[in-house]
Amino acid sequence: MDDRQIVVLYGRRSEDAISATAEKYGKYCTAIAENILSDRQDAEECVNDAYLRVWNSIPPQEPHNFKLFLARVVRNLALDRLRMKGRAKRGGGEAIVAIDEIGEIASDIKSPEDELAAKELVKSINNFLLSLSQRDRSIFVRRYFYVETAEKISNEYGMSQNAVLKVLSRSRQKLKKYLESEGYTV
Amino acid sequence: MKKEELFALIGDINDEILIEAEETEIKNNVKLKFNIKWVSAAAALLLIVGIAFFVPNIIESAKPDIGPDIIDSGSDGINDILKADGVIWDNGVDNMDGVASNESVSSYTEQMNGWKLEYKLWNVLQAADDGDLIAVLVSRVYSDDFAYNGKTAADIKSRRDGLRSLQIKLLDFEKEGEWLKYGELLYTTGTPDGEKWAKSLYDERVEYYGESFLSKYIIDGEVATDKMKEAYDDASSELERLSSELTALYKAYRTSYADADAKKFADAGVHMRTNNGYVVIFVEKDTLSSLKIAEKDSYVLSLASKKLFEQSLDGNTLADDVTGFACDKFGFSNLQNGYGVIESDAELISTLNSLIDTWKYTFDYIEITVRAESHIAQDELRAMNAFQVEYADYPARTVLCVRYTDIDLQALKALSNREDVMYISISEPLTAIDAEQIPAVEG
Repeated sequence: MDDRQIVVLYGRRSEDAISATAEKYGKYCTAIAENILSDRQDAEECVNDAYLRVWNSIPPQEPHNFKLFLARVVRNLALDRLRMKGRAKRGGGEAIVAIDEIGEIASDIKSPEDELAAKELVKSINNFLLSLSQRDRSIFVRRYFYVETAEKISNEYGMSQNAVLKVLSRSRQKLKKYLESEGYTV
Repeated sequence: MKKEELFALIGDINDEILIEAEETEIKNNVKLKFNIKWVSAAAALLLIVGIAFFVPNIIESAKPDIGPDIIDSGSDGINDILKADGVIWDNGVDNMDGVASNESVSSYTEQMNGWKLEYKLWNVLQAADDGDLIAVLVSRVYSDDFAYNGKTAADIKSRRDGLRSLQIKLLDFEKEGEWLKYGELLYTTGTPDGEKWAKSLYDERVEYYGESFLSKYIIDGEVATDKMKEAYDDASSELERLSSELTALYKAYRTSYADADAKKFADAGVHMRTNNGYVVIFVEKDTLSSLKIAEKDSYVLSLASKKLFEQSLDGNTLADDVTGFACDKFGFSNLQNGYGVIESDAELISTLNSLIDTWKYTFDYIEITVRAESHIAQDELRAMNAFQVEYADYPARTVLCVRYTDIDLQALKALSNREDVMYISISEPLTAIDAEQIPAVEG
């Protein structure tokens, strides 16, 4: 089913919207949640929560890109769930490693004071990403948005794992410098 | 800042960047598969040689008796197929374009013996038994250089994306314009209400909007709100028009290949039909798997909707002479324009006519979804000239299917004015996929 049709079904409050979403994007959503939670059952529960969240969001929201809208909802819920469960109990999930990597930059950045400031920071991150080469940008997104492992990324891009880790490390350093130049550091 | 906070914020990066990352994945997948293909070429060759000896006889013996093949553009020659038992169709309304856009090729397809299959068809093939005949819609992968009325899909999409960007800019400017109207004061002395930006932020936002945008919507030091609203509404209207243009372009594209593709599949010995530019083949899963067709890459196969072949009617325009609808209870929903509310009797009838006009070549009925305190009784459905119905609960929802020719505006008005009716949505067929026929009155 076309994404527009699915959004229309949500708008119409038809229960078919959820089954259509699950049929088309169930695997996609579960993969994102599982990358973050490293637990199949948790991931499936998270995806079910995401369907409910989407049901409650559309309308009034009317996403232009339903697939990415869904991806963001799943990612946010999975991160919430990860936080609730606590790091100690979780062991070493992929998200924990990815978050630690980002920690290199975060520790030097001032917390945004409000929602507007947070949006400005996202804009800066967008601008920074646009300054990277397409390959490095996509590898960054695959790692820190979709939380994919370096191994998976290396397979997809025909690179060694080491090369992927180097690209990521270099991108993080560049992001840190970029944010410094934008005045975000403490 | 906590690392978890920054990690969460990365979830808000631009759609375009995320889409690009997904597309990069697909391109790289294709490259890898290509390499693998060479490695397994010898094995594939042996398999093909083996199949060549046995398959022709299998195909011949597996053909169920569904009448002679007919390449036509009407409905007369397809009744045998529509009535045949054991044919698996899609009961929904997928693939209405009959053209595989680049997006659908890259995102929603599975591979099987060189065929690109949409996911639903792939699922059906996994579950199908020997002897099941599957209705498969053959969609051409859209060629970027195909133009209709002087425009390619890329032209239309580029204009569409430009308009969407403009709308986003206008929405952003609704808030930021109130600061940017102060110009350089914003980063030098600050605005009278105390807002002060870093120069770099100011420069970045000015670059984002552009000088011509700013001079257009800041007039005499004030944000031209009315002008912005007008521009936003104009963009919305043009987006609707572009959506119709894209549908027409896909139809022209589909139709331009229909005859040649129909012949190609007929020559390969499979049962097929065409209607309104749609090409549908009827195959068993093993037949499809071994079917030899040149340029398989040019197609995406999906489960065909039976509705593509059901008789379509010319629209019968409804007269604009009934008033007194409970308009505040109505909403409309359709694939062209999304959903919205109805504000007047005239708008309701005009929306109905627009719906019929848009879908008359595909369906001969509309859906009227009624939410009420309880389901609508069958004798009332007959009064509405509904021919089939689907019920759902939580809350009570009745989906009536009414043929264009049978729409009774007086009955619709009466329904809308009932106290127990809370909401009525009108749309092209979309929800009532498991609808049941309304039995005739006994006696």
